[in-house]
Amino acid sequence: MNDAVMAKYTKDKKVGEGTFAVVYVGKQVKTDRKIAIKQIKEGEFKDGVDMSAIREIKFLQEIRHANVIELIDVFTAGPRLSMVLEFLPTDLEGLIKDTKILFRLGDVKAWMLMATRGLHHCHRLQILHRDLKPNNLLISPTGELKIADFGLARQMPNPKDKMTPTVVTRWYRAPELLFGARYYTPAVDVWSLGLIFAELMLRLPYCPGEDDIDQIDKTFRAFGTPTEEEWPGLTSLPAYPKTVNKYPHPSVQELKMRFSAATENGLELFQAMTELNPADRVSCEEALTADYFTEFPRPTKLAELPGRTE
Amino acid sequence: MTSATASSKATKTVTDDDIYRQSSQFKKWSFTPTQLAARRLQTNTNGREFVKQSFLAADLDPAMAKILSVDEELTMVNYMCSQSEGIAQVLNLPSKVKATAVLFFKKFFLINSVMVYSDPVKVLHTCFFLATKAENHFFSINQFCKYTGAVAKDVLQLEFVVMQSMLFSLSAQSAYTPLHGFYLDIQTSLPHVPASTVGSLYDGARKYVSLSFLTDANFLFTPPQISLAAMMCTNSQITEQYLRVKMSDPAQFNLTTKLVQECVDMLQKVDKPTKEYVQEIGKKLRSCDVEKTKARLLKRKLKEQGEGDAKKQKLDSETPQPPDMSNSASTEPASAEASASASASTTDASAPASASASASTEQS
Repeated sequence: MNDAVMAKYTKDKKVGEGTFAVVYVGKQVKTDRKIAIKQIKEGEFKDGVDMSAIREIKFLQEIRHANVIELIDVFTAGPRLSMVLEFLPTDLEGLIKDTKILFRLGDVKAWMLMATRGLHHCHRLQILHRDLKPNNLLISPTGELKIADFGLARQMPNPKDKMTPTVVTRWYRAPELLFGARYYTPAVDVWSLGLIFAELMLRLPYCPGEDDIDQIDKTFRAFGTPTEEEWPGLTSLPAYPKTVNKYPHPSVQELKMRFSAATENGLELFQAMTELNPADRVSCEEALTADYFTEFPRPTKLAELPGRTE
Repeated sequence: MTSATASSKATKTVTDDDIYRQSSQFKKWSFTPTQLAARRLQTNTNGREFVKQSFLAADLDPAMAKILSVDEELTMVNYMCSQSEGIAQVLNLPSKVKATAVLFFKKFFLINSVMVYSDPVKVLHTCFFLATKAENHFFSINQFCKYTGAVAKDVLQLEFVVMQSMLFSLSAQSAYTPLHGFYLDIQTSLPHVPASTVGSLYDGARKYVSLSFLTDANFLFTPPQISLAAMMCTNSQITEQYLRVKMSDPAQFNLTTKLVQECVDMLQKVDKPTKEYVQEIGKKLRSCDVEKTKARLLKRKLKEQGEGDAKKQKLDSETPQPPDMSNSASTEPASAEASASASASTTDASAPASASASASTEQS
């Protein structure tokens, strides 16, 4: 059974190596479709199959959506586990850093729309991603954006289940996580998406903290220091700092200066996604109905988006 | 997105049913009774063939193996499921993790015959280990083995096989989750029902949900259908009232209650096999294991050769019990219980010890 699955694909060239996996490109023999094979390294994890691999396989099996990477197959070869994934040659981080490419307003909107749709689908399946960043938003050869890397994902918890706050890459980490919250919601992913939105507009990370302490300061500097009134329970979160610098919340005027190209509706959505208090933050479903997505300019059509390779 | 496409899309709302139909539980692990029976027959046939080939390869007469029937295989699997409570207890697992482990185990033996994996305890341990990972309730392999008495090597060796047999779908939906949802919703939908009644309905229904793992319900019904059936078994009056409030359309109500009733019938006729019957199947199962059969033949031969000379005494003192009894670590119900409760005594004496004992007798 397993060998038959393996025989359906070729492994042609190594294209990348991470801490826990090696990635190859290959083909689905029957269809000639290009695919990526993510081979989990052995010996990294003495307790059998790596937890990240288990999470990724578990969740990707359940998610079928145009804006989430497709898990095509899984097989084992000797002691190694391999995931056959759709081939996605580009990522948003690469595009952001490529200064030769000009982003139009519609481009940013198209990417935000696709990312929000993909995330909305994850959330309605009760799945938290917990590691959204430009590097994990991949671009297909036809320009479609797909959420990838579910190695930190988890099922929405039962109300009493504690979760670990040490998730999400620092620059995209929501304030409740920075303060060590053990109970949190899909709003952590929405925050990350909001920060990605800012980065798409600025072409620079919006809150690039140097360490966890600095991250809190940069977050307050960018969004203002929240108060206990605005966010009841804030100061009793486990890792809330004893002293914090007080920064004012940026005015609309200030935001317009920081994001000079953005429309008012765009800024409104950005603000809603980056509400400091997670209870006030917009959900994906609400975000999808934001005026920003229906106002002019329209989201750029796939065929005209930067980053396509076909 | 133009407004035209927006409105045409708006007519296609994604429902909970649509989402369920996308799940691996529905796509890969839901069957009609006919499909399920056919699948079991196929697995049994594969097992039969495996035994035959392994005996032929060892130059033994396949007729020596007492082949298990489909029903006997199923009895064995369900018996092992009923033993899983012990493992869940020593690991102090939430019911969700336990449910996942048991569902993994049932799926495993829908795909594989117990005649091929004739040591179901090892499979059960592996299913539990994998379930703790899949449900984010992680134990290191050493901790896991210390508590359960499992052997690390066996578990790690079987882990890939179990994942493959799950068709790599590691998400298992049990009826506990929807049951909790109904429990909460009933309190708003039927405000006149006293909290204590709703509470005992919930507690009683949870017992029926755990009973459902000893049936085919998970392969034939959706998790909410099973939880409604569990509620129906506990308090049919309130459950029906609740369904009437939630379903104004009589056709929908009738269809739902009809389906739920089918599940109720299943939950109400769970008969636990007698220990003697399970032991009998265990004995047959050991006869299907070519290695164990070889060991038994060798021992008998030695015994016959040594008849009347000093060798006999020596052998008798080494193996005081008949060989097929001492080989029983895996499939013998009694030792399954022992292994499940191993950590209670923390002596690690039960399953692994008797497993290694049987290994050493095979080598002798």
